[in-house]
Amino acid sequence: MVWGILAFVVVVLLVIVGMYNSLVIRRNEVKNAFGGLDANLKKRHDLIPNLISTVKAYMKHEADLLTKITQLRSRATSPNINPSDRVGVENQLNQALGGLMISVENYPDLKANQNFMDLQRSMNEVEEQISASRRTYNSAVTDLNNGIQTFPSNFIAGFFGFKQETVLKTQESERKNFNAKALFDQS
Amino acid sequence: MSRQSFQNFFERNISKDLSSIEKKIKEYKQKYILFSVIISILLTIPIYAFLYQYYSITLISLLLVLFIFAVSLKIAQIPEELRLEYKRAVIQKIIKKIDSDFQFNAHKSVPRHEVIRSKLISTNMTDLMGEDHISGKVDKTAFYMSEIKAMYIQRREGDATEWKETLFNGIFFVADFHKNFNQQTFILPKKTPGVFRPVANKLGNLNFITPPLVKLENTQFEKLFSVHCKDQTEARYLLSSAMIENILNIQKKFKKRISVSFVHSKVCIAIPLTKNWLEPLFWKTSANYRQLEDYHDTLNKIIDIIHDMNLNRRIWTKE
Repeated sequence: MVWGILAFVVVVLLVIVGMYNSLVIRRNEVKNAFGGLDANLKKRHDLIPNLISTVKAYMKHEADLLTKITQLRSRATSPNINPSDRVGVENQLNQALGGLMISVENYPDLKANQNFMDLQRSMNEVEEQISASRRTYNSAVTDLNNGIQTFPSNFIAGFFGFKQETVLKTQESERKNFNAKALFDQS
Repeated sequence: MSRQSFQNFFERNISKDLSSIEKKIKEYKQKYILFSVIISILLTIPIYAFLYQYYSITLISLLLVLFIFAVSLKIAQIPEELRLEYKRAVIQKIIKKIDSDFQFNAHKSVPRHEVIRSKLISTNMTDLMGEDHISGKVDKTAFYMSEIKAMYIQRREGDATEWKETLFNGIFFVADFHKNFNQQTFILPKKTPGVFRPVANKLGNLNFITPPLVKLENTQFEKLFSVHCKDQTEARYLLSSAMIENILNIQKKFKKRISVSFVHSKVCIAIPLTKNWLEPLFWKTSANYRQLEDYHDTLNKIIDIIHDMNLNRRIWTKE
């Protein structure tokens, strides 16, 4: 009888350890996925100064937009920015870059510039990598949230203070704005 | 090309050559049937002489008929020179009609190392046979493909018997991919043999044996395929939402369990077939036109993969 109870307790403990470890792994995957997203956002930030210096010689009437992009980049890369503000700033930056790419249509000489074309290719690549990182992040978050919400791991999650994360949503404006691919298709 | 224009092309360029080949096949077939009958009769005499005292004549006659039938089916093959003539005079013209710069070699296969590297065929493969190699460029995208038969053959030393298993029979297509990538990504049809499939089917996602499973958002895609890659983000970078839809459309077009892998800057696609491809018909020569139309459709579908996957869209850093 005693051995039976002991065996039961050991099994229960093993199950708890298993569920706890699974939640920790999922939480780490979320952090890791966010790190990947962050690295790709940084790649975009690194491309912006080059992009601005290439286009400003041609885009005489878009000075405000270029200044806005520079400011948003500075805010996004600021070490003091909190995560929720960062998401907003990155979204604004994305929209502004989308606007810039649309404006390029009015400058045929710029469109034909080899340096700009190379940058545009890099931007397209980085944008796709950001999109892939976001999907990876959202998948990791969904996995974590499933673990936190489903029975019986929800008890373990509650006891050890695991918190749900929020999936990143693609804004409607963002979907429409970054139109570099369309620009390539037209050219 | 529409059916009508293919028919016009066929009548102008192929019909005469095909008729000539069919005539030769017919002549060969007559000789072959005559030969089979003579051989069967010759073989039947000693069998009959040995068996008539034990069995009824009806049974022996039945055995004889079955024997002729079995032998006929087994030996029925179009001679090599007629096969090659068919490929040169008919298949090559169809391929050149699709694109005059495409190259066709009836003897060549996709290289063995390319098949192994794709990891779409089981690692048990010991023998690879291939033919009907087609290569070329569609706009900016280079491609090549051939019909392949991957086999596992167990041979014993000093023993003539072999144990054979066909692992894959079909078309193996390789094209340059338009994005840079570092890892290998595999898209395997669910419940189909492959390098990872036997274990993955039974035990699910085992990181130490297969590259980890990548769960994608498209439920229809998830029902048909499982994706494996060591880098979750890179797999999603390759398999954008648009690419997922493209692969689903390719699957729908072929109505086959296709497998896809992204390795070494290339995309490899394995399309299984149940019949030998780009071959003339032996028994039903009158059906050759219908078959050619089918070959033409399949060839176009394969070439269209380049368009379906948007492989000519070079908007990323890879030229």
